[in-house]
Amino acid sequence: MTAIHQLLPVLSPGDAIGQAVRRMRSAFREAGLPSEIFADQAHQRLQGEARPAAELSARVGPGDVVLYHLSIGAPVARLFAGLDCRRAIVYHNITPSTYYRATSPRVAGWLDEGRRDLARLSPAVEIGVADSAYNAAELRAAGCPATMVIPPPVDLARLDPRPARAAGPPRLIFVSRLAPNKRQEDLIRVLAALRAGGQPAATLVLPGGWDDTEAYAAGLRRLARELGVAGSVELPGRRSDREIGDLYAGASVAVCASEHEGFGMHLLEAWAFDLPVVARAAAAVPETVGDAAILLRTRDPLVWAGVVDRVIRDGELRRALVERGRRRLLDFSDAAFTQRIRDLLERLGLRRSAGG
Amino acid sequence: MSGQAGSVPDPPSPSGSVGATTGAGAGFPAPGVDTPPAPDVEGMVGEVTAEVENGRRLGTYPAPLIAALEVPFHPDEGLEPPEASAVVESARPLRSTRPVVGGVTVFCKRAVRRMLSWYVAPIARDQTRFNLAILRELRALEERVARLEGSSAASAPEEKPESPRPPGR
Repeated sequence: MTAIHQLLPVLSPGDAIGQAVRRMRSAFREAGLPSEIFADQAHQRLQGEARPAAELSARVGPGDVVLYHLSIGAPVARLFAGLDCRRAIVYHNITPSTYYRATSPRVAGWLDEGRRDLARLSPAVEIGVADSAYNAAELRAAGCPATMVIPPPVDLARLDPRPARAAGPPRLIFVSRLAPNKRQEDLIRVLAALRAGGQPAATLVLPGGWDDTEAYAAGLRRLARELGVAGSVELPGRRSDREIGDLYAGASVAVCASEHEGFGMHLLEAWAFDLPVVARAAAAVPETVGDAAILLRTRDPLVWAGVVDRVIRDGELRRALVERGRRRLLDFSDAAFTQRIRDLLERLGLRRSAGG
Repeated sequence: MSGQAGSVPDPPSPSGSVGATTGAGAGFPAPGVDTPPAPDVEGMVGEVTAEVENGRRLGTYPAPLIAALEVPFHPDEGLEPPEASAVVESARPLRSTRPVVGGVTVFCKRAVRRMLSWYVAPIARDQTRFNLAILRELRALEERVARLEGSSAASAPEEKPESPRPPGR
């Protein structure tokens, strides 16, 4: 029987790609297709979930399909390029390396390699699957002959969503790794402006790892000190799902100043906690939020602070945003994801095998 | 709870868009027809923007605040923070610009690296784990001190930002 396997450099339990890969495997298997995950490295907790990438060549035949999850440069891209089978890319976007050259040259090197992989592999695959239309446009620009948008599967239950009830002063939140393209420094400026204006007790929490962006994280701490808000900005680092859920539940407004975002899973997480969202209108963010967030085109911290202050004070505006967030979440339901996977299988001509 | 996976109802018409997906929203179903009335977000944002522009023009904002908000952000300035060298790499990118010979050299180096990786890589990983653990503790202490300083400053009449540094420094 025709098989559809997935290949990726690293299978991790906490990240969106790791979740997507495992959910896709379930969907393929539910459709009756043999499906395995192959990875160069698998996190200790997921050792049984993935087979070594080196085994893949021997496991596929010319009629089988292999999906390669591309988000960064990796040696397995060469393995993928040399496979004697049908091939497709699942593109999660690659952050432009310019963001990382000053602070994390090592990461910049991986990202450049990823862009080279994108250019080399895109014309050679049957189809490119993208998290967003924004990512699909990059695939097409790289020479991919056909694209399809499948927003990533959403597993919000792991965060134990419940309506956020901020006790005490307003609390802004942005959950993402600390990275230059995420522009956490802009949010620190917004907090400084907000505290100087209508919300003198406001705080900001920025959970997220900085394993590869240590210099950037250190710069954020320095900026917070320079702006006199070091005691009001928390950088708690990488946190468990339960802890992230608690942080969302204790927040007032979700903010996102990201300049480059391939999808923005954190936006969906904020909606799940009934948080109003204020975000920068950049990259795939407008496409992901639809009309369920306030989108700002400016980086002016005073304008941001004014808008956030309105959201905090204006109950009607807040309720409308929360309601729209709830509705927008429906577009990313598990059933919608399953249907999109069925569409992909049909596109690949695998529905007949799937039906037995 | 609306956000829980598996508990949300199906969207009106879920489908991935195939082929030429262009423009915002392409590929995602539009919200249903019974979407609640839109708040006048653009009007509100325009109002706030005008207020800010007026405030700037009329000098309503304290000069120290404006100066502080314009403090340049240079995460790479000054001494390299210890985080920058905490991750120990056992495999670095191998490149050569020399034609023919360069390719062979890179190939040989890569082969040697692969042969020794069983020995070198675990050591690098252990050292990285130790470095990051130490730094996490250090930064946690740093944040605790900052919070304590912040709470003692909150009891003071007003928290004033430090003087901004001149650009380029």
